Amino acid sequence: MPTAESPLILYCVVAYLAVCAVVGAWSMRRTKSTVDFFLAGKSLGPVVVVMATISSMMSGFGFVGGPGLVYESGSSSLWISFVVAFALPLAYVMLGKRLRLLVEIRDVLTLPETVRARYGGRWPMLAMSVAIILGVLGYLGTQILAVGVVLQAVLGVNLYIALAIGLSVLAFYSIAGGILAGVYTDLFQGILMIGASVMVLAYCMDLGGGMSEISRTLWDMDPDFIGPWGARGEIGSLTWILLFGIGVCGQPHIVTKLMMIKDIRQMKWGAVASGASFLLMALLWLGVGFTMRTLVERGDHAPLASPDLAAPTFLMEYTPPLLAGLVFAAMLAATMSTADSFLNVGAAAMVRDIPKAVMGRAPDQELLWSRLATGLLLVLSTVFALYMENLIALLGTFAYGTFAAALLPSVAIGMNWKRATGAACVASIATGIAVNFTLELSARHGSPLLSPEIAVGAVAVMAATAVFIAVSLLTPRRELPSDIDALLDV
Amino acid sequence: MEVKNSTIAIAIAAVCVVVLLAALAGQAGLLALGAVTMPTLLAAFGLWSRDGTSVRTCIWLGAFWAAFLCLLALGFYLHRPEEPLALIGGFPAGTTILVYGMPPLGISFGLLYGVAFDDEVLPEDKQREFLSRFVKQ
Repeated sequence: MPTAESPLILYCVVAYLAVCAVVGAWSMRRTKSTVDFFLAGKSLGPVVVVMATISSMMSGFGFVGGPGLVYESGSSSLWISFVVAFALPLAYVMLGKRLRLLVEIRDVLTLPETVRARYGGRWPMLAMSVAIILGVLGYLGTQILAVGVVLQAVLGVNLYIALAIGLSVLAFYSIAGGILAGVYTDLFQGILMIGASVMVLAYCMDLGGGMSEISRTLWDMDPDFIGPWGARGEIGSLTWILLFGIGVCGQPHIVTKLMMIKDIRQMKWGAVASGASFLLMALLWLGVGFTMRTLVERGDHAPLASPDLAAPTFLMEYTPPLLAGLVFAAMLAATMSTADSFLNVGAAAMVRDIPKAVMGRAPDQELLWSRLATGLLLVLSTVFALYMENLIALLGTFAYGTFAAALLPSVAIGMNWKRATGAACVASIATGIAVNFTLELSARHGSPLLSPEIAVGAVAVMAATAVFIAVSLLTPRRELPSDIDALLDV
Repeated sequence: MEVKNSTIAIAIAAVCVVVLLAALAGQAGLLALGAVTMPTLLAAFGLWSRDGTSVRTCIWLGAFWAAFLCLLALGFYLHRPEEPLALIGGFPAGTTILVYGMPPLGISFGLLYGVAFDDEVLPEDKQREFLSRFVKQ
């Protein structure tokens, strides 16, 4: 792991962490109820919602693992970043108005509560809560590892010390300020990420001799690498299109942001703003990955020990210290913005959703328990993360697939189709989790059930969706309450 | 709404099965068709309301589907590793289609939502009527 030598890099990162801590302290004073803690008081403006959505979407998976994926598999990973430009608008189309209207008419703060309102009964809510906790543990693990990788590079300390520093700041603002702190740090983080991406792309092109020169070098190495499907080939890229093109509608940290907007009519241009802003952020992902691989192929740099080192190595060795400092801060921003969203979603599932599904009500002093649950989740996820030794980006894909398979049918389709049933909701969540876990485990233990280029999550999403629709058509339909019936007609 | 949406739901389930079989059999063409059709059907699901949907939205959905399919088909057709490299806009021809074609396609999706918001996605009178009926005082 290369380490930062310039103090400028360290100052940028310390300044970023200080801003996060200040936002956390400010939010703590404004967080007085669970509505504030989980839904930011339903008071966010459109710009904050857009920036919070894309910051959470980009994550450590994109900003740290993304350049590594390009370094390793070339153009294949472009399909992840480019399809998100229509996947985010798809989430608005399928869920935006109905989720926000549901928040108005019912006491709903979380996705499991949405499922309870939609399907009735305790089992759909319980199944959704369990799916969210499983996914949160996996996804948080990814983010935590990414925080460790970035801080290790900047501070030159070992992974455990790096984790302790980064997670202390994250814990402070997430526990104290809840999602309110999360979304306002996301706003700052999103601006930082977009600015850093644009600057780094310009620098990449300059260093690589322009995109044409980069393409020529990579074509000489392997035409498929820089071809439209990349090193993962057609099947791999097409399954990524499926997983990331529709899977956004099943990501709780994205979807719940749509419930926080103050005025529903401000959603109008949110879809296009989210897609376009995400594309700007993805420039770093692509620029650094292709340029770093080009430098290695030209013999200007030794091959990397791990693809995940593409971004830290490039920044440390080939960019001016101030730019490197800004991008490292942006990398931390990407990981921490996603982590705070997941901490919030996971805490809600533990403190509010599971008790409601099992006992019929949330505990007394819910705000206090929510803060404690946020801390507990952070500790659990750190332990989980330190036991996983695979690539950060692949961990992200695994967790992403778990959410997409478990939530897309029940929430995105269920909120648009009156015929959907609670039994189908439970069956599809179980199918999504079982298929995803089985296929991932078989692949990781050397006996893959699928061809290795196929994105496992895409298969799980398709299987869960087919099961959801089939079971809905085969089971008796529940008479919907009048408000939910009308909601599905809006 | 229910009958129309059930038709879309059945179509989605059918696409899921086709995609699964195509992935298992390694049929890239069929998989590409599924990858294009799936988001289009889901968008149709989201945009379909009790009053049906407008001609504008139907045309746009059809155009999105066709344009996306063309992009993927051109990706297959233009990628010729055995031939000398021809760069367009800094990328090999097949990759150019992806790099310069996909972002506008995605952004057009968001634009449609914005343009259709007031008269189709959520007309103000519909929103007012709904909230006046169901919001707890």
